[in-house]
Amino acid sequence: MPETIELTKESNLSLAAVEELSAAKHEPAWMMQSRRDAWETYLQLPMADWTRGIRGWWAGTVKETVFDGLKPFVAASTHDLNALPDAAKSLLRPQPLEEADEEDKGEVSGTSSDAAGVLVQYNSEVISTTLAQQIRNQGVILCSLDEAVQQHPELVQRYFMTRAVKASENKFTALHAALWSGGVFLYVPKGVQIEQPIRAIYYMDDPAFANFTHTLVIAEADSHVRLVEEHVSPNGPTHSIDCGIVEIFCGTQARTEYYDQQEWGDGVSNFAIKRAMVGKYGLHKWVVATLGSDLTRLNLDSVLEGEGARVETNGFTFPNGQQHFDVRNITRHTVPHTSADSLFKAVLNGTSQMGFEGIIRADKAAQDTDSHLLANTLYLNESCKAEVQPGLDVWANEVRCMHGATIGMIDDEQIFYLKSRGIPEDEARQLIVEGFFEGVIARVPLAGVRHRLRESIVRKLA
Amino acid sequence: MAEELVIKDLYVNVEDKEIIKGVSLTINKGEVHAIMGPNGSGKSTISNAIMGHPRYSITGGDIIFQGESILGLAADRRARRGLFLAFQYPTTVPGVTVSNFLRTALTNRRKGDAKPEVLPGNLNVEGDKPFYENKAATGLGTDGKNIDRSKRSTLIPPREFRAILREKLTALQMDEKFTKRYLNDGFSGGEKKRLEILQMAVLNPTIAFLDEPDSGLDIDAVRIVGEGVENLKGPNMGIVVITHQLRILSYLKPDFVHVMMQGRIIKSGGPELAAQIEEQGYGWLRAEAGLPEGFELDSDEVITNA
Repeated sequence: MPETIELTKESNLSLAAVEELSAAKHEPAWMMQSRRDAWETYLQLPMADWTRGIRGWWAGTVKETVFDGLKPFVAASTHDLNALPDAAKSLLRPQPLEEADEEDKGEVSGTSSDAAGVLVQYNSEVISTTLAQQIRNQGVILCSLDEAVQQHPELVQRYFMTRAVKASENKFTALHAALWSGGVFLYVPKGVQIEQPIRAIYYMDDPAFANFTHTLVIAEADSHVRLVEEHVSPNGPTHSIDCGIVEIFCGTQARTEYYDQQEWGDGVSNFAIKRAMVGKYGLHKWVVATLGSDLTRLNLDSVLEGEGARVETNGFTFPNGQQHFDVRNITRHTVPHTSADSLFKAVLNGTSQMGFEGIIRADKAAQDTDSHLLANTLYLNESCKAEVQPGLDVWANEVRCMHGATIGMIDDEQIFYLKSRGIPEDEARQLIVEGFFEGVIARVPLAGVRHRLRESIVRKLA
Repeated sequence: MAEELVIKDLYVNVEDKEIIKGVSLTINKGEVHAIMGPNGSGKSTISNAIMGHPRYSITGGDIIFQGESILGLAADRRARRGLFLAFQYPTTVPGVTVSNFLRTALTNRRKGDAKPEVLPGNLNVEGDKPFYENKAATGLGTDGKNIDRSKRSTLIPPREFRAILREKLTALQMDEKFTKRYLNDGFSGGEKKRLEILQMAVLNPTIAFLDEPDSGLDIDAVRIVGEGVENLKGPNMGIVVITHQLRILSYLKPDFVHVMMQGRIIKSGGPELAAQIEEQGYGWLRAEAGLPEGFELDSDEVITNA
């Protein structure tokens, strides 16, 4: 891998750019071909109709020319972790695994425990990967996807954009498949169980950048792994895009947990697809916080494809200012005896807008599906707007599928009650919002993640 | 002894309806007052107005607390100065543990309501507190950077807080599990009332209003609440109990009894007045005050419950 790759073509997005990127990475022929094919698919596909957003709110915001003028590859400005900007560096501090006491909220002094591994991607490049020796000895692989293409081609060929998210899914996934760079590759062999989380930090700071972040997690049978991701970039006059994909394969009786705190800066538009394929008696858990960017379209999906598979989905969405989020969740049950529990909590502040669509899909074969979906939305004022649509798409005849949604304003009586105990209004609102999110936060076993979620609430209310 | 709380000829409206029509009352530290009266006589309205509920507008008179009018202060500042109200119908706040809530409340109570320099640039009118408290206390950078953890607003150290909490729980014969639950969420009537008393014990106010701390409770629960408050009582705390039952007053001996009817205090006296009411009801008082027979307004009780 060269230190930097400059894409020099006049038009940033072109087949030539795709080939130049692949060549610069010295990729094997199969990957270059895969990129070329994806580019062809990109050209053929129409712009997805969801770019208009729920009820067309996005009309005029996302156009077909959305990628025009953006660079598909931007080298990392530094490969030295110590030279990273503060916003990224502060994330690298060790996070505690467990708090000494749940009441020690705000004081991260518990038994501090490092992550088992940390990967840092800066712009288009992974600049650092560490993995504890003892974990490495068990056969766990943590590296950039770029490196995996070279070192573990058989795994990449088998899992990368083949089953979970295909290049042909829509225009964005096709472009992603053609231009992805960097990426997280995490492989956990059969029977290996890692308690400590593995962390991935994505940071970008180029003002005209189309970032294609990719995370691929393969957890073999009976394994256990936790991945904690963070997406961070500075605010500022930028127009950048993160078109990211997460693919998680949770094997037979495996347990996978994925945590994400998306805090892109206010000049970033974010189109993300995160999808888990859960095998026989596998157990997958999502905790996905959507906080940053000016515009986000998140697809958070699970496919329960092995009998007895279970997924727990937790959405934590908090737009403020003029942010605009669209969250779409599909939990698809394809075989008998699978279960899912989905909980989406959203708080809206400022003049933000949010669309949420949640669907429980039970295929004809998916008898004895047990699936729940609950979406709670809280308005902090009267100028924000949310549209929440939970739905069922059930083809099997022996199922227990339930969905529900609530939307309400923050309660003045609650605020008064807290104020009557000497708590100032802003702290009272903070407590109430934290309490609202508590249902999701309580499902997070990692103290560091809980702490960061609570911090984000303070920041969002400021 | 300086007068702690002076209510001067107070008029209170609830949604354009005049509920309190000229009430005057003085409460000193160390005293226990009982306000009695039939439903809808305005008892709850008084306490909510004194606490600063935004839906109760004061149209006349004044409330002097510790020598200063508090009419312009929001509820949180009144509480930080030492006012307390045990609600008749405490509000549920899901997801907020009793312990976290109490720790935040006690931290603020201890900070007190330091008088800010009254300069226009120094005040955040909306939050009704000095500007410097807002920014510095939360440790938030103005440039949207990540929070510096070392600068976060510091709550009372957990160990110290837990010691205080444990002491108060023991005194009120309450289980520690109580504090892990969410604020009033799924609490029984008795548990809610006891939690109000626990809050009073932790926050240690100088004047506490107890709005029907006995309503809806069985005999044993009334005794626990009554004895609990009796134990908190001291030379540095004035207590006003709003009730229409005599039972709680057998645990919590009032020094003064006031009878409210149709928005006014129509009679004040010593503990013997309560006994008289128990025997004879309110009819004779109504006649004595020359008030017409008939139903009392009941809107205030309902609104408190809303």
